[in-house]
Amino acid sequence: MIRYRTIGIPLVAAGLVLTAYLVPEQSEDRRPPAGVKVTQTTYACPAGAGITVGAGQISPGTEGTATVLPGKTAAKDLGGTKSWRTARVDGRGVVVEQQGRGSGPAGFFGAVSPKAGGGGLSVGSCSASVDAAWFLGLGSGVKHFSTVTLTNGTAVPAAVDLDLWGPDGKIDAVGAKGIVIKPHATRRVQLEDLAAGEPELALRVLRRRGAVSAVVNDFSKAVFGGTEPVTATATPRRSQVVGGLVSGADGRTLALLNPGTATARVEVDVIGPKSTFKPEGLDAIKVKGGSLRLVEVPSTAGRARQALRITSDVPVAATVRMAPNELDYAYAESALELEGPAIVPIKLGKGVSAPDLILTAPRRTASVQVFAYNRSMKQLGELTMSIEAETTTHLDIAKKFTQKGIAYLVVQHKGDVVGAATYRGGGRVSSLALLSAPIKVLAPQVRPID
Amino acid sequence: MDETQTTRHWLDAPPTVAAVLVSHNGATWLPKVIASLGSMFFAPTAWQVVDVSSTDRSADLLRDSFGAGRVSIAPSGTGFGDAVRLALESLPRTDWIWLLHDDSSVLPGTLSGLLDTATSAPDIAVVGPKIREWPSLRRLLEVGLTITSTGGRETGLETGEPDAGQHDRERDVLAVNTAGMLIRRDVWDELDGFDRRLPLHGDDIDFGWRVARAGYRTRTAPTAVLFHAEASRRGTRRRSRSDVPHWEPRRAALYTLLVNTPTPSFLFQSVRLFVGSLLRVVGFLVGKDPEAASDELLALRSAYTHPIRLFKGRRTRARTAKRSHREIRGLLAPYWLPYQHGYDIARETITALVRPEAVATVGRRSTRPDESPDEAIDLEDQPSVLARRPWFAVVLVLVILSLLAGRGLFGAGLHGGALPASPESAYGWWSLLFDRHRELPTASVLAPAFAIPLALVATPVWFQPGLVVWILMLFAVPLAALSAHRLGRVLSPHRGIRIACAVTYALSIVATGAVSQGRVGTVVALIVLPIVVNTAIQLAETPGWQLGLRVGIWIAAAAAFAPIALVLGLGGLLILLYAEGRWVSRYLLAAAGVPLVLLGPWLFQRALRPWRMWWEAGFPVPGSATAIDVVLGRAGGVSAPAWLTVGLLVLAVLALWTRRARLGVELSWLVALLGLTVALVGTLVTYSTHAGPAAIEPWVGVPTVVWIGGLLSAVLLAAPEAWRRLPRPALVVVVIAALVLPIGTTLWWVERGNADPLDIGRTAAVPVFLADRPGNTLVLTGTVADGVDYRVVDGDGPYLGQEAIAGSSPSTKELTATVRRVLANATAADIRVLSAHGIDAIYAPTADPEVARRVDGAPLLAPAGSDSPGSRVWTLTIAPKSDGATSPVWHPIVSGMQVLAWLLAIVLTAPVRRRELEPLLEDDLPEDAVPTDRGAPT
Repeated sequence: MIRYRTIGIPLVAAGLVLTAYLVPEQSEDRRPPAGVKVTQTTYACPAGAGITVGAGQISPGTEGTATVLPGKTAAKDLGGTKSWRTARVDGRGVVVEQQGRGSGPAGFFGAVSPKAGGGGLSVGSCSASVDAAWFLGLGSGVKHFSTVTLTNGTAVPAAVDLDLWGPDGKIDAVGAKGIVIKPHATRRVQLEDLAAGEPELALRVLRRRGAVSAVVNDFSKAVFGGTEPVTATATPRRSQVVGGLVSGADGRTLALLNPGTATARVEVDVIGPKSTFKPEGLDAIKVKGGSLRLVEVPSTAGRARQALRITSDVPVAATVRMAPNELDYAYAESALELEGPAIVPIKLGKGVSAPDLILTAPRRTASVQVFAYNRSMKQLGELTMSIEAETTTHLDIAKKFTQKGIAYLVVQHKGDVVGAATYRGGGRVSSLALLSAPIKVLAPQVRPID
Repeated sequence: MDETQTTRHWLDAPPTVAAVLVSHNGATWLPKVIASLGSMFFAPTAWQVVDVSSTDRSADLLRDSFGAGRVSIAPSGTGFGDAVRLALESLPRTDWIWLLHDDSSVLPGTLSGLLDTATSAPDIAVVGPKIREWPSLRRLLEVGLTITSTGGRETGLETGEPDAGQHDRERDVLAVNTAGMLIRRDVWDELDGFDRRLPLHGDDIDFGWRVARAGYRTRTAPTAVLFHAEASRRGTRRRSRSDVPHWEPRRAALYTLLVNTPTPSFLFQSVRLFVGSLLRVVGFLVGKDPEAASDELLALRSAYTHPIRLFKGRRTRARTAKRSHREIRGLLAPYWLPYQHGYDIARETITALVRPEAVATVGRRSTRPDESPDEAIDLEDQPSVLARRPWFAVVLVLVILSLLAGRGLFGAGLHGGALPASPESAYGWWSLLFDRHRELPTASVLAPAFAIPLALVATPVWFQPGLVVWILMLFAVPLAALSAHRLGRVLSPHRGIRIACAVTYALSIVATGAVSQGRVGTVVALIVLPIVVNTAIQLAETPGWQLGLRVGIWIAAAAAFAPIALVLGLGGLLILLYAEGRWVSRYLLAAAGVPLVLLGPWLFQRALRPWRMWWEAGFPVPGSATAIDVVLGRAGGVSAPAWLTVGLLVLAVLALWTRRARLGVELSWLVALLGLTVALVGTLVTYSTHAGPAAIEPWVGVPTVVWIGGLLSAVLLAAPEAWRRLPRPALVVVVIAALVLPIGTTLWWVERGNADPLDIGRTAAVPVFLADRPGNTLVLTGTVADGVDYRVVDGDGPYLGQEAIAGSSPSTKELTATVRRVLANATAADIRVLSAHGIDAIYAPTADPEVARRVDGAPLLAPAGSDSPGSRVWTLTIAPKSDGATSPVWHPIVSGMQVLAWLLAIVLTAPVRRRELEPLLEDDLPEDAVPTDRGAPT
């Protein structure tokens, strides 16, 4: 008996240690971010002669104000949260601040530029504060000019760095670092002031201090003229989808930026109306490290509305410039798949009418529901459309929704969907990438210590 | 001095001297006293002996020696002064009166020596001999007396000071002892002898004071030597029920001061003595001497509740006073003397803590005459300190090693790791308990229990409270070794082995990294836990309520700093119950209940979430121990090499095969298993603080060292048998295996030092300019991808104790949600919420770029310069609105009750300094007989 106890005690100890090894620990090393509902959204839109600013939301918010910069005067027509508002604002920009838990506010601007400005149609999204925004297809010469509009709607100064790339590599632009935007101010930077004479440029806006929104407007007075607001494309990555390519095989140019150091080998697939295929002439595109390359999309890609799936061995950014005619051109940017409802503006001033929705299901079969609303946020119509896996389809809004008074659409998705709205009128064209309205945002897990 | 060779002018006309011997139960000393009186060079003119109703054979001895006619019998309770008066009634009038005690013997030349001095000047009224200790005969007791301003009887001698002639110089003094006192008869009559209110104690000083005021001098006569046993003062005289109570000396001192203090300073002195006496009461309680505290209170009551006596006493003295106080001020003790005594007491207390157990005290020896003759200790003949006092030497070495390991940590402001800085003053800890206003608006939990002992201990060093923490952390090893060695004395009589085990235990604490990681809770708990075990063993041996309560108090003390010690303590009580059986259960119940009372609601706030018991004093810095770490006595993080413990593990397993100490070894293993189990559980769970859902891995230092301590105890108990049974080569291996841990740990400890992350100086919680801002700082750490931790820092950051009250669920939830929104999509409203929480700056010490970008995008924030690369600071452009929070009104009440409970528990259960029970001669007296303040001479 005594022997058993003598031996038993260390055995118990060993058993305890073994048990401790087998029982899983409760430690919590990683706490990935999770979504939280947005309670307040601030975005900035360019303003000025001929520009109509529209503001809306997925659901009514609690409070909304609009402030014209500079001068900080209120734009009452854009204030409020319970309707679709449009106004022409006399100023360099307008900052809209809207509150409401998960109300999903979004702002847009639309204009038909005068001939001096390219004479094209522009429909763009207003920009919230950006951390790093990538713009491709810009220029600073050969009658193709881009202007960055930086807006600081806060009370503290903001600062950004601008990085430029051309076909020959990164451009060491003088005065591109530490650009300060004063509180409640808008600053426009013409790229020709930083790097003159570059027909093709890529730009990164990197926020250093404060909150700043960035919108780029590009216009051309060349034979192929036009105007287009350039939306920030997705940050460089190895796989992405450029959606919303308008019909017409001519005038499509794929811009690829490789900001890294190693040469990128890029593969392009066309996600067409019926299937996804590899077009001839777009095999194994090489993009040198730190350079921008433009590749004509060959006719083998087809004329139909489509999207391009771009895969590469190193991260690249991509945008497609579309110039279906001599009057105007547009850009299709690499867009993230929808993560929530997206607003598509219709009532956005003279020249802007119901668009075509070009929708792509890059992976599996998906579907979208499209709701039409009037200015008072009253639903006027609804339709559901399925998108076959790895195909692109389009929706002619003007034909599908015949009701009068439609001010905007809300696109809800099921499955992975990339899309864009194409506006046409008088030979002009503009493409607006579908972006999820800010209802939720990824927030880090936060905990108090001590 | 050779009397025959001395020429004495007074011999031409010898003065008449009446000798008065007062006796009370002095039969023990009287034979030798009487014998000494029979061989004097100059004999008194007349003799009279007064026996104060002795119940031994004193009266017979006196009658046999002096004759019945020279012996007066005084009634029981007659004071010394009245006894002298009684004797004088039977004596003829003489020039001088010579007073003698029944426990004081004289040399042949004592009286003549006194007369030499007495006749040297006309204004000398009182002369006293040089009094030496009886029976040592060499140590000085008194060469004149005075009194301090606090009522202390001051001889001006060191304790046990030998007589080497260093005081053989006649001098004026305030008073001399009544034993051997020679008094001019006319002065005696003029002053009406001794004050009847001072029947036994203080009569000499009071008389001398009055003599001095009357214009006479009291002088010492070092050539006159008297040996005094001080039988009453030392309790060696058999007491009777009519003797004065124990508080009489203090009452007499208060009375003497109050009646003799000059009128201008009487009021001040009255208040000072009153307050001082109350402080002494507190001091006695703290010093675990409640009987002395009681005596002090009774003396105070007796002295201050008889103002008419004081008035009469002062009036009497005013009538006889002829000199001002200013003229006799030099005879009184200097004002700083009481403080000197306080220092001496503190020094002696510290010395007693490390006193070697095997060396006899060098203090004052017994005064019983039948003991062995005096033997002077010749220190030069002693062996070395290491041989005489090995434990003292070891402690000394540990202190030196602690100083070496503490290099770079000397100065104010110890902090780092889990250790917050200390407050600027002890008020900081008191305010935690009683100040309802708190700077951080997220504060609504009770002050931590460890704030009470910290506040109490830090109060004497009010402006340097960090000293307490500094001593605890830097001297953790010697302190733990002291407590472990006390336990070792109970467990084993083998000094060398227990010293080795005590040192190993103490080093196990630093081996876990507890000191360098700033785990002050672990350090305190592990210093205290051996005391818990020691007391529990005493409880098992001599069960009693007081010991049961004391076990509970020590558990509470450890649990206040490391709540997990409560689990270990309660588990240990169960082991005790298992070992001792049900008969100790009721005492164990008391031991288990006391911590619940003393720790109070604070414990329940932590117990609501059981794993929160792992949160020790200081920041809840996570541990990272694995099961293997625990087995090898490590708790994760900075620690000594784990393999050092392997030898101990092997020895502890082998100890199980012992025969004689099997039960003890098995119990030690049970304690070890308890520690191991708790520590392993700690490696599997996580806990959160009041503030939020942080999953913190516990630091398992306390149970891990309990595991090691249990194994050490097993080895300690088995070692003697191994020493006898094992062959020498095996013994060498065992010794080497046992010494690997302490020697290896010592080398690692001294080489590495205690610093890092422990540090000295200002805390680096936030940059200096942020600490000076009016609001609090939100400190962000972590990344967006893996989660962000935040802390709200007030000023330089929380001090020790504040960290425990820095969070409450409702406000913290709001703040947590706000911080999350700020890092997701900041709005002005979010920043205003931060402002409402008193925050006016955000600081990211190692800013994650994504965190920085998100904060950059927030409105109402302005980026500011920071103090180090990689860090970012933002300041709010709006002023902070919060001015702190107010804790519920019941918090300070509960804190007050807790403080009282602690004090009460300490007083009730302190190891009381009981007076030795002296045999009563009159055991037949009824129980309700009232003792009177009369008795024998001192």
